[in-house]
Amino acid sequence: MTESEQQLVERAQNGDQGAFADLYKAHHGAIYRFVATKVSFRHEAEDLTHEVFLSAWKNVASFKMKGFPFSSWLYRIARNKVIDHYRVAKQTDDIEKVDKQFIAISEDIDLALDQRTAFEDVSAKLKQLPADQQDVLTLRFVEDMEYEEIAEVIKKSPGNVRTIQHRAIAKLKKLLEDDK
Amino acid sequence: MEKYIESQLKKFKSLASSPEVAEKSLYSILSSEQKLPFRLGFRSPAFSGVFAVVALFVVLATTQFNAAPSTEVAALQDESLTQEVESSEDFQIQLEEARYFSERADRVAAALDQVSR
Repeated sequence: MTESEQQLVERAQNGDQGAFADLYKAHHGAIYRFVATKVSFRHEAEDLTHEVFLSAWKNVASFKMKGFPFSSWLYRIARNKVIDHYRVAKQTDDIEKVDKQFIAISEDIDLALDQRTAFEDVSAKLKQLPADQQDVLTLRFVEDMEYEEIAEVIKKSPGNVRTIQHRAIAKLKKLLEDDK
Repeated sequence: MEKYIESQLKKFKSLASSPEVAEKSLYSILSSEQKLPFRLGFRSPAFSGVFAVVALFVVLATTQFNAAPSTEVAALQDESLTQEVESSEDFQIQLEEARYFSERADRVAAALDQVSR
């Protein structure tokens, strides 16, 4: 964690809204992308990202600095929110979604038609992987995070993260080849 | 194939939420209250409050203890009350004075009786 980020966190812990707003602006994009790789529609990603930061604001006073970036904590909240989202989605009917605009995540990426098909294919297969494998691939290839930082997010050792990444790529490769 | 997968995943980098939605979300978040954990550190207001209450209790308890009468209050039993009365010097003096005035009144009455004869 950089010194300035540490100061922002300390100020946010004392109820400073401006400091939390700066943290929000610094990390909102990454958390949105992380969540968006796990859901299908834009409104789901926006709602979940909102919930992540709402939870962070409410609980920032209990955040303990252990030398890792503040984002590691946000990613952990995001992982739990996504798990809760799918748990609730399984139990309830989606009547609330009637008024929502179903805009697919892939529509937010500017791609040619053939590229879009390839991207949607990989994106759909990614969602079939176990949660840990999805997280490692997203954090490593979308957010360019180091193994140590990913290890802090998913609470595994850096060596384990390498193994999970290797298995994830192998499984994704197999899913894509089986589809051909 | 690995490079292909990596290149497809990197396309997620261009994803971004609507700035308007992000701004509304931030406004809504900041208008909600934070949860403040109960901390009992030496500098915390909670510690100061607890310390003040304990200090007040100690001061009041000490004051009450010192203000209590030094003489023991007899229990409400006849023997104890009698002992207390007998052991009280002031009470003894008042009884002797009463006896003296009573005897003197008798003598004065006798003297007046003799004079009147």
